[in-house]
Amino acid sequence: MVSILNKVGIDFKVLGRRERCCGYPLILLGDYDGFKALAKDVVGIISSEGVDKVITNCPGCYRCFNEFYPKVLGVEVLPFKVIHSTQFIYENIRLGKLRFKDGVKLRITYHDPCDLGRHSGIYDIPRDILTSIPNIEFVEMERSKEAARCCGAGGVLRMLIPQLSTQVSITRIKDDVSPLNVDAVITACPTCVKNLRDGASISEMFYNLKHIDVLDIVELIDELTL
Amino acid sequence: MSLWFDSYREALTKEMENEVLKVALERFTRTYWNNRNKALRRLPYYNYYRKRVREVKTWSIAHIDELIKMVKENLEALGGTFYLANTAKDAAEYVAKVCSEHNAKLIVKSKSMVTEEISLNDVLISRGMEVVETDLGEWIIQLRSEKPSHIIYPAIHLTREEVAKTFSKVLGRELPSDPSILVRVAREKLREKFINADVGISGANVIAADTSTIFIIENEGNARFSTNAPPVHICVSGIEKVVPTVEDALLVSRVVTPNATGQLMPVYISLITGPSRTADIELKLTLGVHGPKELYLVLVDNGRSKMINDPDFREAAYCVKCGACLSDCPIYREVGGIVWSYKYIGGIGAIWTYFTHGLDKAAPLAFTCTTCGRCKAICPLEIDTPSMITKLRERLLRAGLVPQEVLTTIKNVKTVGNPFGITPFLSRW
Repeated sequence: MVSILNKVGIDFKVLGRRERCCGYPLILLGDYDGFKALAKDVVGIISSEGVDKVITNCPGCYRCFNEFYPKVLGVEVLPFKVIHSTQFIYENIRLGKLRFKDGVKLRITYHDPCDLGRHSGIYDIPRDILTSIPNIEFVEMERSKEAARCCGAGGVLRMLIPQLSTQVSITRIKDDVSPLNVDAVITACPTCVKNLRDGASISEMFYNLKHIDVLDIVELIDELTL
Repeated sequence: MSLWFDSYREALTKEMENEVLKVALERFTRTYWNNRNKALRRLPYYNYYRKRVREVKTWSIAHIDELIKMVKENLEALGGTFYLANTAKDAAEYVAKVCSEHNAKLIVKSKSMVTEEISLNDVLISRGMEVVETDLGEWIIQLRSEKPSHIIYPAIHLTREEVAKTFSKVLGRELPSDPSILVRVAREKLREKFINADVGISGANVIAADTSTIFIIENEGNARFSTNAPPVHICVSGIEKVVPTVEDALLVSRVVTPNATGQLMPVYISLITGPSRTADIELKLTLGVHGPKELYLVLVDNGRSKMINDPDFREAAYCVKCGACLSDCPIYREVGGIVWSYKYIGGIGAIWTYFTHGLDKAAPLAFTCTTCGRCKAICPLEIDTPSMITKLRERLLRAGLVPQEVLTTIKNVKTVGNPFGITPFLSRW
């Protein structure tokens, strides 16, 4: 993400050690009071930096800032705008600030992260980004958009019942991705990447499926732009 | 320490290794997905229907007391008997009492989740009555002493090969794993039960208040048989099933069906309005001709009022029990509904379990969910189960009914600043 920000030539800063979790896991685990306190802290920390916009790579954070923060803090809007990395990338491709190299030929599909797709309604932006890349052949999974199968890591399940979480990701790869015969499955969520990578490598080892790369859209775009 | 969660997790992991279950769920998930999609393509008015049903259910739940009163008055005017049961025990005791009063020895049942909820079969069997489930799936699991693993397809955790094994054992001869042959066995075996039963017990998919009409949706014909052949019919259902009119109830049926089985219409929708009657001889009204002379409607509360009066969970009472949320749930796809249930199954089942059987029974179910929202997206009424799951987790946390990992993760977020509890090295920026 930092590399893409540099390419676009935008003035940015990172919080470094002052960065805190947005608190989404607290909501998922039912600690509303803890979440409220943390939301106040996080808004305070970011506000003190005097930034207009926050870019997050994580759909959970994106949903949390845009849906849950205003709710628990009782405000209409936060003192800063929070956008998802795909929105930033899309905008800058449109503006011509991110230009594609002559990349390799790839056949890819896209996995909708639950918090970005179903819970935030962002289905088209990542697809528009992917289909605008030269030499890329984009194919859709049968279960996509609102019907997409979860990667298995949501709801803190990856920590609570890891076996089950991994099994869900294996099915996503085996039943949904693999029949498309793609080189890579692209997603837009760090947790989906982690879990689907587990699913892909286990499918490769135990089900004799061919190797499938799992990439975050940010990694792919950074790789393919000047 | 949350040892209960450790043993639950162990059972769940073991279930995931069950080879029969794996095959069964793979077959089921694919077929369901195809059938439902095919049906919806042929239902251009589906979106209108389901939005209207949401309105109907919202209104009905807001006026539930009036509607229940209407059902009672209308049913009694037709010569039926109405009973409102506050608890599961109350409901089961009442049904057992009615059966005893009729000296019932043999009882046939058609599929009903509410009778599962109140453990009715156990109560009746303990009073020395023979209870036979007549829905094919329910009969299979009754023969195997198992519990339903899906609210629509109770035996979906089994393959045809497993069913053949079970039937072969019961009949004492080897049967092939051919569904048409297995179905013929059920037809032959159950026919005598229908004819000889003293009481038929059914559920209801929806009930129309204005005429006290019970709607039963089915394909096999067993519900028709078991509510028609015996001299007494007892219908056991939940108070939330009542809607204002017959038209509303039909609309609910039309939304339930494609989501349950991928059909445009079920083979049968039975509309039962009072006991069987005739006035063919001198217009003298006489009850009980070929159908039951006595009709009992038992509506069960058992926590539903509490659910309805709780703004965080009221939406769960809108559930029309079509099972779509389970049928396309990524977790259900892996574990099925035997371990991930108490009586009610899965995500929405966790909410229902909280109100019908208590917070402790709901705890393991609530923590087996990715809150991915597939259930909400497929639900014809768009019931927000993922949000209710997080609200349920809030109550579980307050009650101390959470796995140890939950407490650790919460502590990590608060103290280290991330859920993993690792201190990141960020100075390269």
